[in-house]
Amino acid sequence: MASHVLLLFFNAILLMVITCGIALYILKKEYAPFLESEEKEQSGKSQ
Amino acid sequence: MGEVYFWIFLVFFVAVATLVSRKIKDHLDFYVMGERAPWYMITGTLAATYLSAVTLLGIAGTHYNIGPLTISTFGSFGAWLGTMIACFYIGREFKALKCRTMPDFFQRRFKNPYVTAIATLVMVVGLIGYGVIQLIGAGYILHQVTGLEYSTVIIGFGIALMLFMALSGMWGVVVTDTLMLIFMLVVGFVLSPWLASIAGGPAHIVADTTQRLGAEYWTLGGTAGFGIGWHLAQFLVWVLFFACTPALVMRVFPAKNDFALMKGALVGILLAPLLQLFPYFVGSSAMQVLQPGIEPADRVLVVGFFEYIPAGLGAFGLVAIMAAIMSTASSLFIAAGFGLSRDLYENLFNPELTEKKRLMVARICQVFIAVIVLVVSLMELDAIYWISIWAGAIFAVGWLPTVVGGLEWRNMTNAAALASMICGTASFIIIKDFVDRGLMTLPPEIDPLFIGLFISIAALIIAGKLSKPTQANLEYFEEIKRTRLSDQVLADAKGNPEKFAELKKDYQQTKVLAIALLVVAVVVFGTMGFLYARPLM
Repeated sequence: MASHVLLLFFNAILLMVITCGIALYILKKEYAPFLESEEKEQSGKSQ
Repeated sequence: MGEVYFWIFLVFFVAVATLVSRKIKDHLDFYVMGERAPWYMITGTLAATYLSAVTLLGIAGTHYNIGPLTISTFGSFGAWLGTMIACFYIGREFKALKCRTMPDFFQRRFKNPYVTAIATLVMVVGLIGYGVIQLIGAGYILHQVTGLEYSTVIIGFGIALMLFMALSGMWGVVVTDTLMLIFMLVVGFVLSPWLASIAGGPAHIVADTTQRLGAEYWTLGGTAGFGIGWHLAQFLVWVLFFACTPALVMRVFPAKNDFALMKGALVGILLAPLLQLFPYFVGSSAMQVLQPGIEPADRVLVVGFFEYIPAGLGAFGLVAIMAAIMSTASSLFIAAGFGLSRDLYENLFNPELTEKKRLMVARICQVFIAVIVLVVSLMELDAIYWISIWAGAIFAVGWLPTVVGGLEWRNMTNAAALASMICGTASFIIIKDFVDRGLMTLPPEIDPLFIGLFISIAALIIAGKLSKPTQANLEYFEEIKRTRLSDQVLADAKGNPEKFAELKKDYQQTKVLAIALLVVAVVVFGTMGFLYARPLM
């Protein structure tokens, strides 16, 4: 019975692992490369 | 006293909508808030829409009667995951494509009036059916709680909805949802734990219910003894329904940019399990100790708030329930109204309209929908019960395969979309009807929805293979693959130091928020799991 209760809360945690994982993946895949290249460009300009 | 709260709530609701209506300058304001919503409003509207009368009344009652793990462990988990898919996948893709409603996508992807018409009809019927049945259920409960006549409750809600939707469109829905979330938070995080505390805390609640109702009360099957097949069916039904329901997908369209969408959705998705588990896990199990035998069980939380919480605070509970009804109903009905004005009238007939007339048509359609809702709710037509049962499944079998196929399959054709929507919806309705009438028997783990979904996907693939995509199909598919919501933010930041600094800040904030919310989830859900599981070890 305890395992049944724990399964419910495990599912709730799993939901957030997936959701936060997707958000971090989007940031890494779609934004991080641009941020790196733009920062390099800006530091190049300032030098 | 409940009567007074009912009228104050409705007046407050319409007053806020009237104030907000000043912000409506054009059709984009009406449909998508001019895409100006900050993240916290996306959170507000998402969480308020998610938490419905079904949650605070129906599921709380079921949990009270047969056990707090029965629906939440897999059914609700499916709904949470479905919400996540609706926001991060379908909603985000559609927003990037500048869709203002969901059938907008069908119109652009297929450029075929039949596909648009069928998609819109599926949506309008499904949303009205699902919304009306919630309103009818809520009307009965409020009638019992407030002492008002059922017809008075429905007319009050109906007129408030009509004024509210016609005046303030999506602006009104988002702003009032955000305000109503405050009441829901009070129910979730104050009133429900309060009830648990009065009932002696988790250890006593578990011991008492186990002794009186048996150990099964704290199992997945509950005292009803549901099997794993039933749980699997519940999980899939809810994940498929929520992933594609316009009431949730359209919540992210007003977001001002990708970061507002992501931050709003992250917090909103965490609030979905929090706002559900506190009332219907913590609250309803506490009520089983405080007052067993409440009939009908749907009233369990209302009884708890009025009889066990000091009067002023208990009223928050009633207002929260009304807020949950109103926010879900307004989200469902406004999407149905948009379907009529934008998808059927504007997209199919393509009239030459001035901005003023466009807005007027949108408002007239909202009034039209509200009148239908009011009439159907008052008549309590038998048909609406069936429509409501079909509604969720219709989106899963009628829309989801076409939406995913449209987004991901290059060779998706108009014939494939039509075949999938018609075969999926029709097969589900026929099989469901046969099963309900006893003309067909299915194993418990096979829901008619799965057969409908299988037929919908099979029809899509077969019709897709037998037909060829048009040039317009292929061009729009290329546009889908070229378009990312992030591109719009990145384009603004390129070569603009101010915008670039803003982007960097948003990037960092979203990253920190995602990690922080994960920690919060582990701590809160871990603690709850520990408190309720320990007495059972």
